[in-house]
Amino acid sequence: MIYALGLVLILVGLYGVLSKKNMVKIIIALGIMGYGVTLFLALLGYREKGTLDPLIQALVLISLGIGLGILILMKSLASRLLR
Amino acid sequence: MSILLAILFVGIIISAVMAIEAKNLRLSFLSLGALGMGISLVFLILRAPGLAIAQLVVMFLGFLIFRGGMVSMEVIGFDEGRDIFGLAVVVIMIITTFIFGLEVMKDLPLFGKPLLAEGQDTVQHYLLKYRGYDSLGLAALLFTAILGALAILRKKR
Repeated sequence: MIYALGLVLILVGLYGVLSKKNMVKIIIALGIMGYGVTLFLALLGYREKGTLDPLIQALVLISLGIGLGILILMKSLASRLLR
Repeated sequence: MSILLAILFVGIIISAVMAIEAKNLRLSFLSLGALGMGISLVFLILRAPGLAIAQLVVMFLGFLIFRGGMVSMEVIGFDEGRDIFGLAVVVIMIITTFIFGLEVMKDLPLFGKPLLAEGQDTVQHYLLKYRGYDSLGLAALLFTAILGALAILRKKR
């Protein structure tokens, strides 16, 4: 079952979010969850002939951009807490 | 190809676990970088080179963002302390989610044969037709995120 990789990454991230005490570790775990969702979508859209499904490509591109934006905001909130 | 994917998957899972369980944050960031690189390689194998490049750029930007003030970040967090009961509940919940998730995944289409065939889906057609607006929205989103980060990090006078 090849789709299980996305599930495993999401669950590893969930474990990190729920069990870690350090704020930066929690941010990293949220990033891993995002990676898991992205990878699951990409695996779902693979075609044996030709490129990856174009709709999936557009979705994953937006998802990557939004993930980066969320990462920037979380990092700045965490360093705001430090001060 | 499936052997290559399997090797990559093992590496990705190991680096994900290392990123969470590493003793210091430096090692954690390095593992996160390895994870991003592995996912970029998976995109390349799935024949989506544009996504692979975008993933690399996102990974490097994330790395640069976390690089600043990395050492001082060790301090942030709640008070330490072992909570065995909470950890047990978390592990049980995650295992249950995994089992039910595997059950759900049996209903998905086979790998390599997606539901969407080319040229049949209306959403796909319009989304590709207006790809420029899509990218414009993405750029606006990144711009807003950076503005928000600058607003949060602004020094008080």
